Amino acid sequence: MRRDAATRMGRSPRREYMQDSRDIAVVRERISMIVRNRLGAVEEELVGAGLLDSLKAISLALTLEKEFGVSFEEISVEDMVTLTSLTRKVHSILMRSDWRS
Amino acid sequence: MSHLFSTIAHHAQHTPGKSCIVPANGRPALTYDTLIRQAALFGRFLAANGCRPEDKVAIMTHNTCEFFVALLGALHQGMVAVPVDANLAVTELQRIFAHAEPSAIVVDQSSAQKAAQVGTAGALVAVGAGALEGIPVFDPAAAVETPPAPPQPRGSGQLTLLLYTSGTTGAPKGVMHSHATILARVKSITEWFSLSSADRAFCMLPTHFGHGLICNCLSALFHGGTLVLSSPFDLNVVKALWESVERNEVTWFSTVPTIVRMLLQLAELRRPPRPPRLRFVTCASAPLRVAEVEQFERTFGVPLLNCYGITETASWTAFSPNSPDRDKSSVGTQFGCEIRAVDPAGNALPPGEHGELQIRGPSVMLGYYHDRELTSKILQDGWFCTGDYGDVDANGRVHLLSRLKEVIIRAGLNVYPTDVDTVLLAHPALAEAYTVGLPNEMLGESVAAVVVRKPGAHASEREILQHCRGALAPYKCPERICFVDSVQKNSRGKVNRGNLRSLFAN
Repeated sequence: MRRDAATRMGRSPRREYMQDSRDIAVVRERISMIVRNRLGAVEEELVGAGLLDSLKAISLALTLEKEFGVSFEEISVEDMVTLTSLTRKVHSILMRSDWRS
Repeated sequence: MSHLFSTIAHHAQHTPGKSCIVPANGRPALTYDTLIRQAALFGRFLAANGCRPEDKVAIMTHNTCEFFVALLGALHQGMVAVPVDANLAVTELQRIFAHAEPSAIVVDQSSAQKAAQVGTAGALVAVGAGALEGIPVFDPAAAVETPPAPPQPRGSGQLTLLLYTSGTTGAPKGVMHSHATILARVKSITEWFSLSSADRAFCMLPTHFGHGLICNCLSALFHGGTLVLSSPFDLNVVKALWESVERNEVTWFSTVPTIVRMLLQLAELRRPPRPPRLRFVTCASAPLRVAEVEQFERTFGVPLLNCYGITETASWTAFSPNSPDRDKSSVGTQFGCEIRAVDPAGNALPPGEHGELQIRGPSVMLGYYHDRELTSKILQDGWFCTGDYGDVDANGRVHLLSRLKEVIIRAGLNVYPTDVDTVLLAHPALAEAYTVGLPNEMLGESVAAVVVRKPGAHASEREILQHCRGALAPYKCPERICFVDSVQKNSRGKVNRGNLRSLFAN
């Protein structure tokens, strides 16, 4: 059922980030860029600062899947409360898939 | 049948054990019989808590079975149901309650705390299980099963439902509907889409506004069908949506363009499902591009049918036919009402000519609550002036071109710029504020504001946004602020908001 969009487009974002996935700072920087592009600004507090609402959360989760290859089903709104919590979540998924591969 | 309660009670008599409302989260379903019994008992509970016929009963709950128990319970006792958005800011709710003067506010566990902060004169009552200190609670599951008494007689043309929208002056606008206007609308929806008791509608739109409540939910109950009720569209809903549609054998559901766009985005990542029983999907509340309609149909293999309506007309007045040859640039064909375009002098225009759209018919509102002046301005000889600009062709197909009213439609929800301006101007550092809608690929429009600071005053974008968040519902808050030294005005001192959009070009 699942189809990795990035793979379909001829690249593998998970592989792309795999080598750097142990470095949480790299993940954070990339997420910051995505948030800035999608939401117009980036702050530590994503929900509290009003950057993220229920609709934008969907869009961001889908973008994270496209960019990192992490399944959006694994990401919850609670993970998106702050940039740090979101980074930790994405990083932990990447690490897990890294370990499994 | 001329009473909403009686219409649904009729199904309870004939198909008592049929599933009426099925919560998508797996909670137990309500049968028609159970819904009607619980609603009648809740009506008596309201009466026991001081509500009398014709009193307003605000319903501040989320998308739950209890919402419908409360709504029908109020109608059973001849009261006026006032569904309100529990996500509004406290000050917005205070304005609505000051305007509607409800005798009771029905809350659930998730809204009780906010309702208490609002501090209205109306009594707080709770529906649903769970202890809420100091608030009388009606637990539908624990209700004693007795045959429901017939509803209080109420003229079909009398006020029954009060739906709040914001006004262009920033004041709340209470749109008054009767049993007759609502029943006329759900009847036309049922006829147009050939809905039957075999249909199962899925609702992921908020139940407190016309599109979700009347078109998606009440139309399902009107014809004895089943309503699969989800919480409003969010990340959790989207994760389970297609599985839920398939498992619940859903035959149709309604959307707004933002939902359509997100489902298309999702389809790029997951193989699109083809739920076997899904007959069609509708989309309303904001314009959708032809390319998006076609992409949705190709992706999901199901017709996406545009509809057009406004709260003041009990929602949809134009419907797209379920036919592959339909004009996809049209928002639908007028049905159950008349739609015409008029010139600036109010003269009806020939088919195909562009002008303001006006609507006349049995589902047009009774007027605005406590606002005769606005009512007489907007309702002229039975014609409701929509503030939308477009045309009606010789076949009755309606095309929308633009809006004459200053309203921003963000993800299908109306945001009135003056509402936001008023909140911005309450900030001590701001001298002028002009809210505008910016094109947004996903949301349709996003909210932004151009502001002028008072001389010597300092306020950062963050401070101003924080100020707005305390006073406005999240979807109304500006996402961007542009500071300028002055704003150009015309000879009458008016500002052309359209021109201000260019300030956000970079």
